[in-house]
Amino acid sequence: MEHLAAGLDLILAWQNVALMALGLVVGIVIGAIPGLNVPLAVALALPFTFHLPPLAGLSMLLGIYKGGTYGGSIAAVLINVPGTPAAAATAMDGYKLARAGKAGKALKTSLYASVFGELVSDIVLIVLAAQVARIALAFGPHEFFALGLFSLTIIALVSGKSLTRGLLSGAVGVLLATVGLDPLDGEVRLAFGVYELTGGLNFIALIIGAFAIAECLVQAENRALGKLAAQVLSMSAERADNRVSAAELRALLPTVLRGTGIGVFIGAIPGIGAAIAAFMSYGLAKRLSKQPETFGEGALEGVAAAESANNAVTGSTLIPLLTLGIPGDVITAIMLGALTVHGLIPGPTLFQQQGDFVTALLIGMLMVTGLHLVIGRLGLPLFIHAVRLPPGILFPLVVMLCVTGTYVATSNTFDVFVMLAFGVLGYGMVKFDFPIPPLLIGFILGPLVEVSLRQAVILSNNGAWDFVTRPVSAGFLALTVIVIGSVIRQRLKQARQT
Amino acid sequence: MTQATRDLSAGLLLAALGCALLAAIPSQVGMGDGGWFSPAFMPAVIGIVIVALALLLAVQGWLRRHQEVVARVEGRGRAWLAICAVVAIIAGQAALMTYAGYIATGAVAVVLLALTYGHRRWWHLVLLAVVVPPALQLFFRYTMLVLLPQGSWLG
Repeated sequence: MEHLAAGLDLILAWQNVALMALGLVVGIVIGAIPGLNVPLAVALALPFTFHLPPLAGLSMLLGIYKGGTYGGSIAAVLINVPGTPAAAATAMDGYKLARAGKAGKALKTSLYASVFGELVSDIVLIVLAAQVARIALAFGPHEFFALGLFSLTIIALVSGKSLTRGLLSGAVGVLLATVGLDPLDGEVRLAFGVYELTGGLNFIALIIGAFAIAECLVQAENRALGKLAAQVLSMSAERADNRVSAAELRALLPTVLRGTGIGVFIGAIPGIGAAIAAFMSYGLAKRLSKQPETFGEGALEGVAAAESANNAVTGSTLIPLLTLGIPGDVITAIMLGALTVHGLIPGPTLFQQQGDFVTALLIGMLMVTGLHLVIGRLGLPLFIHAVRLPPGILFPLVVMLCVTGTYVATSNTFDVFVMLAFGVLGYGMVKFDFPIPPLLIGFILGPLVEVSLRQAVILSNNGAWDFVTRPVSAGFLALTVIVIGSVIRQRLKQARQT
Repeated sequence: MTQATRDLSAGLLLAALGCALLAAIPSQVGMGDGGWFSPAFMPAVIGIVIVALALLLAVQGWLRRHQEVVARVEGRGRAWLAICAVVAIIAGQAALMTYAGYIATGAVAVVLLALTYGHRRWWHLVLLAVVVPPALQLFFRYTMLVLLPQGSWLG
């Protein structure tokens, strides 16, 4: 209790609250801009924190982290440009809702699901940090491989009408991820003599190209065929289309709870990331939905599932950092830097020696979540207004942002060409009815599956038994078999019906 | 083109690409210590998977080839022209950005794109050219500390 009073006293200083709000606004803006990602924003803000008290600096970084994670969904919903990789799952249904005049409903669902996910994640961090950290650290290469393989089954769930086309899209994604230096041996693979490809294909160029540029090409085609509306986003005049009713919130609650659980779990495991959590939650929501056919066509459940999981990662990624001093991703590694610069060493001793500080930080996380709701809600009309431009102005602006964002990510014009190539590929996929999300999932999960498989086999002296004798690994492999079996059964049933 | 024809052609194209990839692996992938799990393992497995799935897709398309009705779309030529224009504008901007600078190439690109998307109000076009590239350059320079290309031709 004494820590609570002292912590409240520390965190409620006006400059801490102001820096949280500033961080949130900066994070939302950066998250919404294609090509700019949260780690970049947190890294750029890091030097400013050196001149601030540790709590104020970390409050700002937390604001940027949470705001940026949510911000990615705004552009995903409004213009089908996922600001962050995790927002690609949100774009699948969010953009369809926006095109149907329900942008307000989609953005509000995204905001509420994000805030709920964050809140639960923060509470788990406060209450169960040590226990969750212990489970997360039991993950070795065998478990990572089994988890990666299980996550690849999401491809089957987001494949749309044809499983074959979805699996092909996912396989191409895995293949593209192998371009560049081999992660274990350092050998160059599939670079075809192009020096710039030895570092691999840029992930940001892939996302921006396959989603945003492909969409711009589709709209250029629509314009030539006379199918482009005077306004890209026509807002429905119906009040019900721009708000989320209590009944809708109640109906979404199980989906949001599941998504939050997945996000918290995935976030606590070092090195997995929000994108996998978002797609996993989306896939599960579709699998368990009473109307799975609406997914990909503008299902509110799809937006809620992706966003709750995506933002639930933000609290639990701090669990291994604060409890054990192990950063799970780039952002927590930067936060580790911010803590150590001020002489604070994360780990069990931090809780003992700096109890007031840790309590203030945890309360600060809850405050950032509260501010997120307020700032996000106030900003919604502004975001919607920003895209109510004629397509002749909006799409050139989107293309300019895509080109600039991709260039800024690596300061290399080669990546702009890579983005363009993925744009053409994405356009071709749309025209040939190939789903794009599996390509992205394959690209994200390919390296995880490959590296962990090779590491596990080396550790097991070329044996495979450990995959089934280690309980967590065996559990995920069993889940993989169950999901594949049920997907095949469902597809066969559908085929018989048609 | 019907969905069946699309599946058939996409399947055959991907199968050919998959075979080309499998043929290229020995020359394009270092073999490490040459063991089972060498750097070539994943590309080879995925190459085989792509060929198998692509052939399956082609067969599915072939079996459905008589089931769908072809719908003719008017104006395909104009559509291709618009798509090629957008691709060319982006490629042109990327190619010239280092030499002519971000602001100059950006101004030309944004106007050409607006024209491609059918915007004809000249004062909007002037505003886009004058405001957007400099605003983006200033934003990235002062908030992200990233310098966009100034242009080697401009010194």
